[in-house]
Amino acid sequence: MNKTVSVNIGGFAFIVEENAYHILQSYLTKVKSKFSADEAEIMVDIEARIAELLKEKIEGSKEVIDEDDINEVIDIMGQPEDYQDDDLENTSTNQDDAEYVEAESIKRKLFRDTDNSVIGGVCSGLAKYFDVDVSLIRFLFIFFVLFLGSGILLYIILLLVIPEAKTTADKVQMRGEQVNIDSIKAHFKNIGEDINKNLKEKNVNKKVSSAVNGFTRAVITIVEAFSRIIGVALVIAGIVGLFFVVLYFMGYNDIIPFTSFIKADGFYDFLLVIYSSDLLAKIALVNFITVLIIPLFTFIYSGTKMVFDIKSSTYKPLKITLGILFGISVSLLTIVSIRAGVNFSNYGENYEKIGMSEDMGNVLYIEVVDIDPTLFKANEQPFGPQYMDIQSDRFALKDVNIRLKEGIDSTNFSVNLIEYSRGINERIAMENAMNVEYHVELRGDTLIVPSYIIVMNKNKFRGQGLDIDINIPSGKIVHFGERTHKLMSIHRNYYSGYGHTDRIKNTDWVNTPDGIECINCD
Amino acid sequence: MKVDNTKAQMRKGILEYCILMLLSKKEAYPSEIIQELKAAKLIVVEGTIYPLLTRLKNGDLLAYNWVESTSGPPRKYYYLTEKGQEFLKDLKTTWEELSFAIQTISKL
Repeated sequence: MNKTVSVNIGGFAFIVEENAYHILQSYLTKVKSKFSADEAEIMVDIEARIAELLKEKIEGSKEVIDEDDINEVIDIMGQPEDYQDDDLENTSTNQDDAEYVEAESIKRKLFRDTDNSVIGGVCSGLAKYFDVDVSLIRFLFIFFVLFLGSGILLYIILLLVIPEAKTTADKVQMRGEQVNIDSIKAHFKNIGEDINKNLKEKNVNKKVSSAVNGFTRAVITIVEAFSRIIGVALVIAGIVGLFFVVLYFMGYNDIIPFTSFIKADGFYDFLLVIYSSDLLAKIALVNFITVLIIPLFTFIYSGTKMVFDIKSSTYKPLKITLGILFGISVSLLTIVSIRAGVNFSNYGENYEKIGMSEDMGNVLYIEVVDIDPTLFKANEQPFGPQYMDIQSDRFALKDVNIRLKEGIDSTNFSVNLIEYSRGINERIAMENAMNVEYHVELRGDTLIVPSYIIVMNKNKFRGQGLDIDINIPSGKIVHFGERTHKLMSIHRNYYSGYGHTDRIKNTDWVNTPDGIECINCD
Repeated sequence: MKVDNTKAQMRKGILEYCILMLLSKKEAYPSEIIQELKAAKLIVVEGTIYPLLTRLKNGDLLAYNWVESTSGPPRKYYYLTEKGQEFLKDLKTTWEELSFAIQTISKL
């Protein structure tokens, strides 16, 4: 039989055996002594917890708290020493602990920050790397996406090339060392210590080895810098290339110098007049794109790796897939190109005589017209002359050449049109030549010639062209008018050279006993 | 220099970090916190936690609401203040750095 006391712990009444009560009381007193007066709240919390624990003990038939219960509670709560909440003041005065080793500066690396990602963490990773606000990078990407969607491709490439920050180490490296006064100070302190050490240890060997190390480090730095410069160049080349390819395939021909040579709504329209079937044109289009995009993709990919010093090896299936795709595209392009090339293997022409009136004067005037004002509109642009203009149902070729010849007939001019073309065989080549649409008109003494020929799209481009042979009777003159520079070329006669069309306008040519000669050329 | 001293120091900082992290996920009263910390084998005795909670509260990192309990006295439900959240963010960074340091050094 034991005496019991009724106690109030944390607002609850407990019946406790007397010796148990003594133990608890001395425990609480000791604990309390660990805290200062303004930490009374802690004691309240502790008592509340003890009450909670004790309540669990008296569940069921048991009503009195005994010594064992109290000891168990003390075991759970811990000895008074365990309550010690040593603050840093106690330890920081200790000399041993005061020796803090400065963290070595961490080289910043580019990772994808998937913790703060919207899609793949590319933007937030870049933001961390460059230490700028992530919204700026996102804005740039959205801008690029709006610009013909090139941002999407760029994002995909970066998503593939930049590794995800998986481990804590990655995450720390992603952020790199924060640059603040402390870190700068620490840096200089280290340098100072190094110098001191070197001065103290007058060891030649060490000096030499440190010099060698320094040299190696310098070389590595230079190599790294170079690789970065090359990387930046590759990325820029890749991105610029992508823009141009996308723009070009969308029909902005004049962005690439000399491609304005051929004008079409899109690259596909051009392919359609080259290839004999829509299918071949489609195959060619797809493979042209692949053949151009894959190297550009590779440029950006490996460039990014060089710039940000990403060591991870390329995802193998990606490499293989790209390689195979590129191989297939090149092969298919070769095949379709050969198919197209066959169509140019044979030559054929169509001959047409222009009727001339008997009562013409001594001078035949030649003037050039543009029948259709919608054609060759862009002819005055900076990048060279335009050769081909592809419209929805037909295309025009600026391939009209005038050849001056000595006339056999001594009294009358004679003019012949020779339409020529190429084809898979001579018969087809001749048919192609006959399909060339070209009409000259004789108005009095003036021969009006269009500056281009027209071919329907369904008849395809087969290198069609047109020669106008003008036979000049001896002593008579051919005058080239104001606009004759629009012609492709003017041959003085069939065999000798031809003058530049720009210089030929407003000139007179005469058949002399020595041949065809210009009277008033520069 | 005693190993216990170092151990206690290491533990103490981490304990603080863990409590803040725990409370950043949900409000909790001390017993709940204790349960979680015990499950994580971070504390052995419960006494350690009370002074710590109070200190964090006095430092304005934590605050609490009184919530009536069905089985006993009202409980203090602790939650993270705004300052506490900032503090936690800082600790997280430090922890990542420390963890990196350990990984790096132990690989040497």
